[in-house]
Amino acid sequence: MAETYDFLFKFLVIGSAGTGKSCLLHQFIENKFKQDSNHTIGVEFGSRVVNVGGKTVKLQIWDTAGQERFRSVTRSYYRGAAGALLVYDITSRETYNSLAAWLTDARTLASPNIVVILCGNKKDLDPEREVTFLEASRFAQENELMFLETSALTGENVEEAFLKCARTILNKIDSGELDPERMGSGIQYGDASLRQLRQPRSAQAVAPQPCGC
Amino acid sequence: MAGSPGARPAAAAAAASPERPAHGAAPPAWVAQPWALGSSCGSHSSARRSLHREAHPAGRARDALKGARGGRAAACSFREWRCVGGRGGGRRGPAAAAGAGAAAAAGGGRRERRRRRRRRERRQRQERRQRQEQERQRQKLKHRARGCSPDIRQIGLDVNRTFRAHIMFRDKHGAKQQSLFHVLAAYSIYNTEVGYCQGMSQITALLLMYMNEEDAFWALVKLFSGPKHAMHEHGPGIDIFTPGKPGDYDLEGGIWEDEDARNFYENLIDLKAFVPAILFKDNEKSCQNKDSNKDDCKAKEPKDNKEVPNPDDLELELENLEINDDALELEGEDEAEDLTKKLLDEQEQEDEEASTGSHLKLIVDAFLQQLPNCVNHDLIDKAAMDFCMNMNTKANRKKLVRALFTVSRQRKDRKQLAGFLHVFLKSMTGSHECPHSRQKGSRPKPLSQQKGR
Repeated sequence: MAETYDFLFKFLVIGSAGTGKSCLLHQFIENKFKQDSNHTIGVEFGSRVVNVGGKTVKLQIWDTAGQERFRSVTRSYYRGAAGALLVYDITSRETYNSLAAWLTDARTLASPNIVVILCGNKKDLDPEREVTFLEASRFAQENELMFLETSALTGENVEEAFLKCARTILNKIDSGELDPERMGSGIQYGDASLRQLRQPRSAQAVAPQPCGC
Repeated sequence: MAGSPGARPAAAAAAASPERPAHGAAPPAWVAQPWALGSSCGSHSSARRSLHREAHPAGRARDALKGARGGRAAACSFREWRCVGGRGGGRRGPAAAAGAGAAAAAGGGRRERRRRRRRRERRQRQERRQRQEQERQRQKLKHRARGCSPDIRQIGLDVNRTFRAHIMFRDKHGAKQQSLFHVLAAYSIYNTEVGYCQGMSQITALLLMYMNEEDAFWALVKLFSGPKHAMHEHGPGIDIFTPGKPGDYDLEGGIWEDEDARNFYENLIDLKAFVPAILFKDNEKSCQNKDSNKDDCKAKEPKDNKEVPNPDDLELELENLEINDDALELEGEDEAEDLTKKLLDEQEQEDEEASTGSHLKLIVDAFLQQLPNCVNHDLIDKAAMDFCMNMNTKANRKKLVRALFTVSRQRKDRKQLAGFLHVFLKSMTGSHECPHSRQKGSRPKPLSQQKGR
């Protein structure tokens, strides 16, 4: 049976190459760590229906390639995103330093009021840490981001990151800050209500088939 | 000395082949490499070596690897790997087969075998010399890459996630992963424009499954620059391998993906240059405003000069008009006429108010009465000019159109009407947009004179 949902949010996963964006997505969708994950070329895609605050929300997640070379490609996927996971690698300062550029990209190309959550990935590699929790959270505060340290390997905080982002968007919808009807908001109403209307008709359509067999 | 490295692997081959299963999970490269490394440093006889290997096969391999990691420079180990291990690998098969054949034939087989081997070695030496130049270049690039390729970090990241399920690339920092790294690093320096782009590692890894490091490198070079594949620059598809190629744009420049998209949305054509001015609602206003804001008109001038409507277009337009006209008559003259009149009358009432007084009205009426008398081209041109200069308002144009209808019906002189319409249309498009357009002797008066009125 097809899934029904109240809202559909378009999410982005962005960040420098090798920070574990695809692994985060895989962990979120499959609840498994992708041992030999390939690098992403262009964009990959995943979706999951989650329950946030009593509402079923389908998260449509666009996992982008991190290498600088692909930015021109991935940028075209930014438009109309409601939320974004901005991922950096806590064991690599370089990925942390480029966060500002990623953030500008997201705010300029997606929408200025896109909900962004900063994810310091590879939390399990704490001994090799190069970016402290404190400075990252300060960065998040300065740029009005939410912040979590995640680990795609252990699955720690992965689901929380996505859910937190979704919850914030829902809150913004409730408070009227975001308008799902506006074009390019990255939010769509689910077809739950429509499906209910259609269901009897589709049931009729399906019913004769067994007889034919 | 040169002959010995070739001989050794061949001799060792027979001993090595039963030994291989013992290594189990070790990638094939491992198996080849120990001889390569052992052969270059030792001065033992091949017989003793193979005996030694048989006694401690696993230990021997380990020692050799240790030597490769610790003692020697990577460049050196690569060269030996290529010369001895790589080549030897290729030769091993036939040599072993020859050995089997010899056992069956016995007798003179051994001498024959030796001769063949010598010939092979000679050929090999020649090849090696030929390739040495290329190889030296590659070596140099590899060393430089270590220090100064900006893509090294990315390559290092990606090597460890390329075909990890494949037996050759299964081990982190294994031999094949190393050679993958070498090839990519060398290429990123060899072709700095492309450098390294994600996706290249898979291509290279695939090449490395079938070739040695050096061949893979040159194959990669060919893939990028060869005319057949031309993945770089000249290829037919999207050149993703060149930074900034597919629709690169700066954020400051706007939201358009590329120049084409930007042009499409931003450089709008000036419709007024193509469409007759009568079709514009604001035409009248702009006509009347003309007197007041001269500067505005002057500012428009240079732009309009570029966009003088093509006479051919007008001709076409005219033809269309005539065709429509004909069609109208054929369908039902009266009906069409009534409809036009009705429509025009309705609008006229509004427009009448806007027209500038009864004085102009009189002039127009006079003009229209004169219209049927315009029997030759010059007169028509004159009349058209007169109309455009003096009476060019929406209401008047409608009157004119109506008059023209009647003229054409009375005289059935299509040619004259055509001539008039021609000039009329031209003047319409040109009257307040491009005063410099000239055609068939009809020359609208300069702007300054227009303004005088």
